Amino acid sequence: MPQAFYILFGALLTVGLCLALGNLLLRTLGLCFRRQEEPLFALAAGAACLSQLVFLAATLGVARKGVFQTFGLLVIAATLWRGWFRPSGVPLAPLSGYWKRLVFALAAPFAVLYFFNAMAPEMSPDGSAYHLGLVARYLRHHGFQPITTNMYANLSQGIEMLYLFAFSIGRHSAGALVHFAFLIALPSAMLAYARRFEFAPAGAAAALFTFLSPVIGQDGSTAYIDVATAYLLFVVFYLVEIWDADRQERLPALIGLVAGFCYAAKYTAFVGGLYAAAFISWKLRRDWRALRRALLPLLFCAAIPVVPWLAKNWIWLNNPFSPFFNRCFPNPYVHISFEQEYLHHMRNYIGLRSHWEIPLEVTVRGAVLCGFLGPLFLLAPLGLFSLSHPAGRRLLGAGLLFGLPYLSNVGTRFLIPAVPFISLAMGLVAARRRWLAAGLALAHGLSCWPALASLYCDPNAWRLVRIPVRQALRLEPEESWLTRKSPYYPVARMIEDLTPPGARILTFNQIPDAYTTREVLVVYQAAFNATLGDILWHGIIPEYAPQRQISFRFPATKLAAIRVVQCNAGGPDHWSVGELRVFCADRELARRPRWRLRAHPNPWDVQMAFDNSPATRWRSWQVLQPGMFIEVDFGRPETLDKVILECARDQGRIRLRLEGRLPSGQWRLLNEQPEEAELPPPIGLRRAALYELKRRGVAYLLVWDNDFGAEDFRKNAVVWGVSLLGERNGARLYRIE
Amino acid sequence: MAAAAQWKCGAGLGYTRYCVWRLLSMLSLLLLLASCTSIPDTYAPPVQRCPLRGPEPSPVTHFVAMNAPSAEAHFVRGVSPHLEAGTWRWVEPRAELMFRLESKQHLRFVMEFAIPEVTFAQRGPVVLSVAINGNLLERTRYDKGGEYRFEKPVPAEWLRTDFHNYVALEVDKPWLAPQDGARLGFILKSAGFLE
Repeated sequence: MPQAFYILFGALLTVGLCLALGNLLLRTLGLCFRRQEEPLFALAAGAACLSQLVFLAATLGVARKGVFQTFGLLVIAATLWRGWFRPSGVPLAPLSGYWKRLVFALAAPFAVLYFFNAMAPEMSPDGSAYHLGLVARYLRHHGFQPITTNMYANLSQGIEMLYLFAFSIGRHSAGALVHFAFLIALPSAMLAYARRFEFAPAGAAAALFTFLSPVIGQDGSTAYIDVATAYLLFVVFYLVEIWDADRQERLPALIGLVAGFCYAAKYTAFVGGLYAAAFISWKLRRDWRALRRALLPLLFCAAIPVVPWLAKNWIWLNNPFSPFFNRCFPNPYVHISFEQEYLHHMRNYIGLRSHWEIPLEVTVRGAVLCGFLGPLFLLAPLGLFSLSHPAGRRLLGAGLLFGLPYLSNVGTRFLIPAVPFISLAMGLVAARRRWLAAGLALAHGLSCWPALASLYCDPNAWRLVRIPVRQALRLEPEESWLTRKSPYYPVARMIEDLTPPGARILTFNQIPDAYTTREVLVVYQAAFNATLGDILWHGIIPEYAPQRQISFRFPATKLAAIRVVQCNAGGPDHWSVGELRVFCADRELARRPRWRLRAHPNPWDVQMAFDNSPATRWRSWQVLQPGMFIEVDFGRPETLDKVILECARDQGRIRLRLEGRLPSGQWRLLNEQPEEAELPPPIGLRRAALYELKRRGVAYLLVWDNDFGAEDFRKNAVVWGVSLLGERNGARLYRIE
Repeated sequence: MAAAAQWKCGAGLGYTRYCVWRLLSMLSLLLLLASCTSIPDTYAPPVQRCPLRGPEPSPVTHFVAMNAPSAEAHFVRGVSPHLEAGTWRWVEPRAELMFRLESKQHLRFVMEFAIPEVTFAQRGPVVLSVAINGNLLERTRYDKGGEYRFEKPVPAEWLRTDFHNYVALEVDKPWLAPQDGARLGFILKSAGFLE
């Protein structure tokens, strides 16, 4: 089983290196923890350090298997030699035999289920598409490269840096196994926390509530990042609690590092840093000097994992927070309209009729919101009774804060960061009666086991269904299993087989990028791709064709520049201009190299309104706002008497006026009541559209049978000028001739 | 050097107010600079994909709606000069239109028209023939009134790009208008060549 060996070796080396680096850091800082806590905090701190080191390697272009392997083995060997893996702290109070047996009996089968699923060939939608897709790309290029065509590459990728290390040795499943390590660490940290603060039975029950939850098991056994993020957030909370109890002077530095790494792991986990800073500030509000001594190292260390990701985006994408905040940081890589639509979709999943359906969906059904926590969590309001306990109040406060990002995405896995806190609050209440806590844990375990969960959850719920031992050990080849089980994997392989290296493929839905080396451009994933999609749809959507002619006539005037200004406000229309033409005595003025074109917003695409192509258009890519404009500076005064816009018909609400700049420099209103006429549908739009795609380096199209316009491609392949290369599972690969 | 010296203090990793403040200030400055994006101000016109329309663009195109400003430029004979209800025109039993094409490949002749129900009482079912540059494209029988869309691919060899293309529309039986006895064929809304 050499492949299985490499998978395990890759994952173990990564986790081992995290522990080694973490132990090194804890000892350097001279921090004192309990024996069972040391490996837990070492994992979090070491993961932050390793992630930073891999980021550095990727920046320097030395992200290679040999480099990682040598470094990892050397550090682990040195740590072993110095004996730093041996915990040195005082042990925590032991867990009673009753709870030990219960925890083992319930957790062990689930740990086996999760382990074998994590080790099985990776086919999770996001894991195989972009978490590992980008990792594979970095490894191929031995480091980062500017990626402007995939907005997922703009997100912070702290956990993916760990996957990159593991992937270089054990490929896809090694990355998933690293996530599995965090899945094991999360309930262990919950239990350790409860033992330290003397409510161990509640902690044991809560750890089971969390660990057995189907969505946490499913997420944690794939190359997603949610469980790792939840672990880091819990560690921040845990460390803050320890700081509050014993006020170790150097603890804020560690808290800062882990809190900063939360942001590096996932944008929405910035709340970890917020929580730590707010808590410490509140506690030290009366002692300014102590506050400064605690807060400055916290902020400084938090900045260490945060700044590299901000800088990367700032340098390459002009927006440190890309793909968000594009209004504050305008850039050509992510459209403002995309950001708004994306956030809207994340709050309103397709199939979710009302937000009142969320409680049942996230606990029992699990199809629409992608996963379920288990019916036990219908009792989550019971956790409110823990408000009578000091720890309960803090847990619920932290859980509320860490759960706030759920408002921006109602998918079940966005609840994962809050689940440990909700579980502990529920555990505190349930543990008032031992039989109740144990009974709930047992019932939860039974209800979440795949065979029983299938009796009540939606058949399409995102969950684990079996223990794939043969596949995990690669007794069945990876290729065979993925081909049988993933409808998307054969499509990725088709692209790999039928296109040359370096090919760019435009498509409408994400595919498992991690299994192809070609560049797949998904229309919604970047501004460039969206523009390609807009061009392509010119050939299919009649309303996109430039059939609306808007003419501004005025007495012949010598003008240095003209500007068409849009004066209306509101959505959903975008303003677009297919062509802007200027005339004098019915003669169109040829476009001169000395002309200077400007537009607001989206200045980067203004040339598309002056290229004489019926398949391209400048588009605002945001809803109508007064003051949007397109401007032409002629370089020297020209005599004009007419300006014509050729526009699409999908913008009924636009209101335009024409302004001109006299040679004196003064702007004057020329016409605010343009005439409108309808132009005939242009011929050759399909070919013109594909010509534009080819000009932009796209030579292939991947069209799924249920994609918009798929039938038109099938029926009119000759008219489009494409030839069918292959078809797999309802996806057709066309080459643009 | 002074900062480096202050950095190491005590047994473990230390920090000072001086270096922490300095680093935080630098980081804040970097973040502020991040808002200064390098948006280009202006662009030159790009490569033109096809020639501009020229000094006097022809009003004859590949497709015409009856309410288009340049519609009459497409009429050779038999199409009413009067636009009815802002959208349609009567055509005579034999009418002819002309179109200009820039390419001949993959084109369909498309026509939106109507045959009023009232005309059937007088003349019964009609047969409509469409001929392109003298080649019969289709002959279709219509048994009842209503709105129709005619659409059929045209062989490229029938078409030309160097000269006008003529489309003849003919119904086998005229309808005599009761008011003035005019010989009419059917109602035309749009016609032309599309992909």
